[in-house]
Amino acid sequence: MKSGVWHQLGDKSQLVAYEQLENGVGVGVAVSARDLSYSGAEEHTAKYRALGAEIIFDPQYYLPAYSNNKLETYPFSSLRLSAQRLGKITDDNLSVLAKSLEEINRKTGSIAIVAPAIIYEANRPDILSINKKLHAAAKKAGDALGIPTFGTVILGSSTNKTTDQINSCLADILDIKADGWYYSFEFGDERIPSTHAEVYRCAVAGLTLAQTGRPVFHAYAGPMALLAPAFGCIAAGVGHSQNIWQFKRERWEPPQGQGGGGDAPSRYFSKDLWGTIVYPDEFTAMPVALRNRILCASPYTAALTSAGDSPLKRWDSNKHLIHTIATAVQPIFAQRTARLAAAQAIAILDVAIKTHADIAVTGLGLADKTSSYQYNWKLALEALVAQHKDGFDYLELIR
Amino acid sequence: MNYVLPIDDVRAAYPNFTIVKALTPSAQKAAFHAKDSAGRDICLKIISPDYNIDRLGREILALQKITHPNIVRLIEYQYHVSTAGIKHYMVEEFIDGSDLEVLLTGKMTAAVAFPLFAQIADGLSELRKQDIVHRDIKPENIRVRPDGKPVIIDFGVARHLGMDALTRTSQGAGLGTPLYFAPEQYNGTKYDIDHRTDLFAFGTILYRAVCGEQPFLRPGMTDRAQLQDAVCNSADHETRPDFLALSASAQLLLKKLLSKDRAGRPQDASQVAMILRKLS
Repeated sequence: MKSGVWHQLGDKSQLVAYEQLENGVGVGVAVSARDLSYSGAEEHTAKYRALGAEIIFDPQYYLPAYSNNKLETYPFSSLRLSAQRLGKITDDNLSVLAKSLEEINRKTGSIAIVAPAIIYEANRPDILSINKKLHAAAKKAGDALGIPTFGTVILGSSTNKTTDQINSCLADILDIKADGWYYSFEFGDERIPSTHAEVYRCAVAGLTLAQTGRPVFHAYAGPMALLAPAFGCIAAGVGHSQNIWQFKRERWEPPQGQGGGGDAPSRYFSKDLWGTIVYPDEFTAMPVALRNRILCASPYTAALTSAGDSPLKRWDSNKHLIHTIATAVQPIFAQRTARLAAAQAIAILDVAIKTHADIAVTGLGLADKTSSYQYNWKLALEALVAQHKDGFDYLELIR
Repeated sequence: MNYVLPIDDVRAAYPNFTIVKALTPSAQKAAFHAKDSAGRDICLKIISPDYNIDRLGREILALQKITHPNIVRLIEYQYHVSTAGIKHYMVEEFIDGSDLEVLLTGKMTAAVAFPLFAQIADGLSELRKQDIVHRDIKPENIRVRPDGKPVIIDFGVARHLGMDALTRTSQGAGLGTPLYFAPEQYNGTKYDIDHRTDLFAFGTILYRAVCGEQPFLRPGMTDRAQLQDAVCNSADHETRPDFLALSASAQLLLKKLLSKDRAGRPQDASQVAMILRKLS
């Protein structure tokens, strides 16, 4: 698996990913069955691969009873069943699943099978048992195609309240014979996770997975991709949409209400903030010196100046965000060790913390709680490095 | 109590084999070094009538699936009833040499121990591939050939993870040898016993080999509860001078192998073998 930032599809972003790849941004694409039809997946992945990108196909099985019109185009859609029914899935149906996974992964040219899996919940040994069966079916597909099979590990909020709880859950999960891990963590209801303890636990779980010696893909990482290489991941999925900046089960539940974001003003992602500000409102409210610090060039914002008088189109804002995160994080993935990656991530966070402090001095309060997480992420990484010395040493030993 | 049969009785009952000498028996099997009709050295294991047939099924199933230089090879299994009585035995490859136990009288240097244990880890890795947990890894169950190659033997309590029907034993978690038990063998259910349980036992033996003493056994220990407490709760073994004299990498590997928590251990014996070779 190519190391670095992958495009995590999930919100009409297939063309965005294509454009980024054309500009040399991103090393792969994680295709979402929830958001791209069978024929669309085949069509787009061929284009991505032509640009040198690697592909993985996420069957989006997390809440398997959920379906939508995109998912229904896949041959395995009839096997989207409740956990209770999946517990009784027959060998014949598992064979059907294996065959359909083989087919779609062949057509998309995937470099690894992402095993279907339900979100892990506390005190639910049945889920482990189901996921083992689903993994075995995926493994058949992987073996048939001669590619690795990644175990999908989504630690639901009921399993990740304490590190002991996580360890207990991972002890069972790690018995699965996976060739890699497709990992994500369900946080609280925030736009970007900000709680130090939660981010720390997410990192500890990732570090544990990395110590298996198998590649770990941090799925739905969003801006947290900055932290992924520091806890041993070799790749992270980044998309423009807030919906996929972390694992949110709401995406796989029946929609509530109208949704949408209407005509909210564009957000501008700045490396020096490691976050977004409202453009132009918040941007132009700052002193010019701060505006100059916050601006970071990308092909999508070349016209922007510290005057803040150029428009920032919504899609340019999205593309700029991915470009900025990817170009900042890709060199961190190239670090020789996770420790060095942690140091580099902390350095970026230090800059962001300082910039936010300087903004706060001006009396300007940013919307979206943009300054709420950088300091806590730094604390989480520092705690990880200090308290898991053996884990980092072991990663170096098995490298 | 071990199952012992007089050697002359065995000679009389098994005329197709030339019995060379009695080997160390186990509770379920009397073992003999013998020669078959072609003159090949073999290990004849005569099975006790009290032997748990389910467990035997596991052993046979486990061994039949494996051809690996570090795992004993099963040649034949017979359950034969006639008017003369029941003959219930298995024939394994004869592993000349000695038990690893014999080589653990003192402390091994890392240069000697690591290449040897890397091969044992190779055997454990093969077991993992076949979904087999040995559950009784101990020095007496590792034979070392005269050329130094170790072979894992005695799958009497092995569990084949794909065979639910054969694993439904109430005492599942507690089988094995307490001196090499992992915490989950004391505290867990049979579902907690997996390949990492074997890796813990492997770590215990490796520790003993390179530090010269058992990691959890203490002078003055009088009962199993004290040993259990040390296995499940103590990290004193990480403070002993012989442990601290090891390289940092060797210490780290042993710490990981002896982690109380399965998630904290190496997840794959092939990874352990790779590290040991790196450190050799």
